[in-house]
Amino acid sequence: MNALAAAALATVVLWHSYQGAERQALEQTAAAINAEFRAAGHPEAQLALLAVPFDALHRKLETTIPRGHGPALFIAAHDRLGDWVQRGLVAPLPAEAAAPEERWLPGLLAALSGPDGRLYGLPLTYKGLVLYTRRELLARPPEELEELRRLAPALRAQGAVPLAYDTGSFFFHAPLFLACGGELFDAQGRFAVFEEPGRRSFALAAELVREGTLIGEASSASVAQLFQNGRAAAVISGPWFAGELALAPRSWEVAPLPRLGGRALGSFITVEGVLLSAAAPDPPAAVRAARALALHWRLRAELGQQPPALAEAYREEAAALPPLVRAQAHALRHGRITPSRPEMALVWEPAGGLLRAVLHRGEPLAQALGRARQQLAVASRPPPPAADPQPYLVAAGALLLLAVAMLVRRARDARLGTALVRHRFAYAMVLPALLAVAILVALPLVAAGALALFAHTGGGQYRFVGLGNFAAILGARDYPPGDPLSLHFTLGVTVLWTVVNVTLHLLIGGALALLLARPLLALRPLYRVVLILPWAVPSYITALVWRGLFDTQLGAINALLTRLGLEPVSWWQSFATAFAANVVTNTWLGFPFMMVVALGALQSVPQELQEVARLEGAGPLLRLRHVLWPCVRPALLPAVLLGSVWTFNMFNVIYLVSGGEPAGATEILVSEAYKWAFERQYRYGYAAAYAVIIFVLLLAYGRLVLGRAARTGTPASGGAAGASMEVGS
Amino acid sequence: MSALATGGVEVALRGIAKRFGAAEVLAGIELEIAAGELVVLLGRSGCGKSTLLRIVCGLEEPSAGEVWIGGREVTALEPRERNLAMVFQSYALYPHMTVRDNIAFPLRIRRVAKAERERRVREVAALLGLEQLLDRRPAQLSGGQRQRVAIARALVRQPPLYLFDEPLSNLDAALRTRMRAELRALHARLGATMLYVTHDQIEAMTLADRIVVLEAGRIQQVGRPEEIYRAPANRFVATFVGSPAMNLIPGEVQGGRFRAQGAPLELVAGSARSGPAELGIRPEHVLVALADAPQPAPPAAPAPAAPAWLTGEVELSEPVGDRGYLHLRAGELVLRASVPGPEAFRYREGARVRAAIDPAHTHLFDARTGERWERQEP
Ligand SMILES: Nc1ncnc2c1ncn2[C@@H]1O[C@H](COP(=O)(O)OP(=O)(O)OP(=O)(O)O)[C@@H](O)[C@H]1O
Ligand SMILES: [Mg+2]
Repeated sequence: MNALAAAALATVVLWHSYQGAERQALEQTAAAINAEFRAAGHPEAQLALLAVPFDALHRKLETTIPRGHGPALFIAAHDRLGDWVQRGLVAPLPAEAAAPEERWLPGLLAALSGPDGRLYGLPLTYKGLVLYTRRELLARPPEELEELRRLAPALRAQGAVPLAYDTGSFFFHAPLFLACGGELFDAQGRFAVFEEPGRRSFALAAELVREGTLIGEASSASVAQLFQNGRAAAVISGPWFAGELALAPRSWEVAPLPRLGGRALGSFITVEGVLLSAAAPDPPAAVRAARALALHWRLRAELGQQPPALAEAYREEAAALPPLVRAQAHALRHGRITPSRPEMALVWEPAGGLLRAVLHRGEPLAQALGRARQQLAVASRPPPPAADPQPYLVAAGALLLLAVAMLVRRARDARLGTALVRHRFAYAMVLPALLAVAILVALPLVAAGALALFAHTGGGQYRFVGLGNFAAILGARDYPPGDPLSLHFTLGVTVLWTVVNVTLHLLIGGALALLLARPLLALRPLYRVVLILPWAVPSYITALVWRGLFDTQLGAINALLTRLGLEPVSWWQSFATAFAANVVTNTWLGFPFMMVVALGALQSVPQELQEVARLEGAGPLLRLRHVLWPCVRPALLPAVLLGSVWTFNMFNVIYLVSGGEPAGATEILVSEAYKWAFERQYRYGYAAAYAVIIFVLLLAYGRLVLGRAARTGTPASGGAAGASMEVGS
Repeated sequence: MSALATGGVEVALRGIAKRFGAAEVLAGIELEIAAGELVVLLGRSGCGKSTLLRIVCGLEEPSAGEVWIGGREVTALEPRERNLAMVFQSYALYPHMTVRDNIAFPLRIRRVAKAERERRVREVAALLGLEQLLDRRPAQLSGGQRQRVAIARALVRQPPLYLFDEPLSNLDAALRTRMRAELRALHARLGATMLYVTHDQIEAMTLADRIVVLEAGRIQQVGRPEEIYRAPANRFVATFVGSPAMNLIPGEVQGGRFRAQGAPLELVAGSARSGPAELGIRPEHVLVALADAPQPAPPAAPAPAAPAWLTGEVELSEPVGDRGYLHLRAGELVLRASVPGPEAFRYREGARVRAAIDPAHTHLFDARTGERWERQEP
């Protein structure tokens, strides 16, 4: 083996998803380490960095490592560690890798330890919440929340919010929660988020909103905008916030979170560490590289503004550390490392919902708490009990036998044989398409159907539960039928959503098609292109744009309403307005399709049909009703069917525009399924059961519509088409 | 008179012109149609027949001129205010309606009561033999049946004026002949005014009270079918009407006699005018005999208008059964002749023949303008 190949083999590959200054700092650190290793005669521990986009990192790790590929090391946050340990994606470090333990800030090593108590990575840094202030509004950052409360009237008089943060997220509420002594779990490991003393923090936040110190409704995006425009005096956010600002350096400051009644505020802390892959080709070399990286804190702290994980960094020269680092150290000292136990994933949704209900919509706390507790109970309910697979196997076997028997009977039918032989060319031609459909459509369908019979118990482990998931969903015993979170309500909303949308698509698309079909309209091709554009833009981008337009504080729609002298509307506070916002967005997305189909259908209606109706005395409306509509209807029917199916499953709009607000009332079946799959402990089986139910509903609907079309059986268009159909049959 | 007799209205077109952008499609159309008359607009494809019809019914607006129906100027009126019905070449039946609903549609639009509607549908259905088909859809009908439904729909309102735009052109020959007769009978029965467009001269000849020959957007001649045939007003009408087309022999008239160019043919012109002219003779008026057959005895007293004889040979012989068509060459001249069926087989290609042209059956056209030269009967 030559030297080059040896060097290539010996490289320790590290994946990370840092950007900007953080990435630069990491790259320079790696260069320094490599130089040291070479000098020390350890060429086998050369670090090679690979930047992977943040959204792709987890997925890539989860697919490559089990196949023995992927990096030797990767940098990730601590919160998914438990899952990865369970899946065997990460390998434990030898005990001496972190020695001596006192070198690290307290708690960080624990965050990177698995449920088995073993260490899986070395901490590099951590992220916590800090306070950002605008100098022209606040001469110096307040040390006490009381200061901000006192200044609030004056600030409001200048048109600024005293304090802003993403009030719809429990992560940003955590400082108040922790300061009130809130606990996530009690000593028995039961949920304690919504109990005393944490409960008091929700009341306190509501109080701050009521008195005008804290902004009521805000998202991360609107908080950044308000601060940028000088309309928020102080903002609580993480280190990433600094990167979103485009402000002169001296116009704003970073400080530790202020005290509350003499008590220092901390926050939830995310620990970032370098983890050892279970597929690392040379673990000792990888561990050596990881340790070197963890001990080289200075460049990362100064250039990358990352708080070091080593205690010595703070003792040595505290004054030299940037304010962002010091403020985060404060958040760690008085805060809590975000628990990484799997149940934690269940807390975010109901807690966020509670905050939105209380702070955005002004709902009474007791009522919102009741719902949040119940939501938590439903989401954390254990999956259905294991079922005996035997009866299912018997049933599946019987079905299979039946299918085979039918196939055999068909095959023994002589006509089938001759048909196969006679049309073998045709069959050969459709075979590739048939295979593709089988692989791309039928297989996933069967897989989803099978998955619906299992429950995911975490870490990629499944348990057979038979029809337990369906029983749990269709039983719908968790909420009373009128409750926005009940299946009945969601199903009703889904149907209403579909009907309203498809009707609007049809009306608007049809009306525009009628306008565009006029042969004498000037600039017709231009209008066509312009009107098809909403369709050409990816729907999630459109949904995000509309979400921005509907924003309560910064949205263009409210700005317009105010300009017109009307009250701005808080779109997400009532079902009607949130639903309307969703419908507007989806109508914008959906009408071009109907327009294109209707236009095509209209143009295939012979001109003479209209003319003869005109001669017989029918005005435009009568012609529309008696001639155009009946001729166009058969062509529109499949479009309506497709449109209904798309709308029924229009996840993007619901998720991105209303997000189910208020309190899950605008959720539809498919977005509910998504939440079960990805936001509530990865209940894939349960979500698959939802998908199967949706599939069955849509299948029934499709059969109904097409069956009716076949019975009324109108030919597609004019006499000529009718004649050719006659010949064809 | 039947219950369906509707009576007719007179129609007048005064100075109608139509241009589509720069293209002049119709110009200077003057036409008076009497009440109850069946007038056929005859012309080649693209000559503007449909456009004229659409101007009459109001689907198209004339660029100039006036349309009068029943003594009322209707140029600016909507189609429905003109009280007429039209049958399209494609029938334009509503594909989603049954035959019954198709026929009843004009009544439904006019909010005629249901019972009355049903009665009138039955009446026209009976007239056109559609009773058995009332519950079918257009797609389930044959071409002829569809045609009849389209006519029934036009009839049901009993307007005094009907417009037909090549209604028979999608039918096969036998059906066309039958429908022609039916239409003729229908017209006789209704007594309504009908304006009928066709490019088929047989249809025009058999149906029309009067024919209007249209070419390049201008009226060439208006007259009864036999007038059009006997005395075509110009070279276009002469060659367009009649099949096979009339022979045109270029030549010169001088001193009351016509001399053909490039062929030894000379005969009485019967016109006082002199100058370059074309002599027209229909193929059926060219008399043919084999060259070696005995020459028919010359008339006892040679009249000034004696037939002129030509000798030539048969270039092409096309026996079609009851008649045969010959192409004869005499010098530079090629003559088409039509002979009775059995005789046609006698004239083989290459046979020497003699042909006689009787001045009584000839027409003279100005070689420059194509206009007919009127002549005193010889
Ligand atoms: N809407 C229009 N725009 C421009 N030109 C037109 C229009 N309608 C008709 N024309 C032209 O006018 C002329 C006459 O058309 P018209 O349809 O009246 O002919 P027609 O005699 O009915 O022929 P056919 O026997 O083929 O139906 C044609 O040259 C046609 O191209
Ligand atoms: Mg035409």
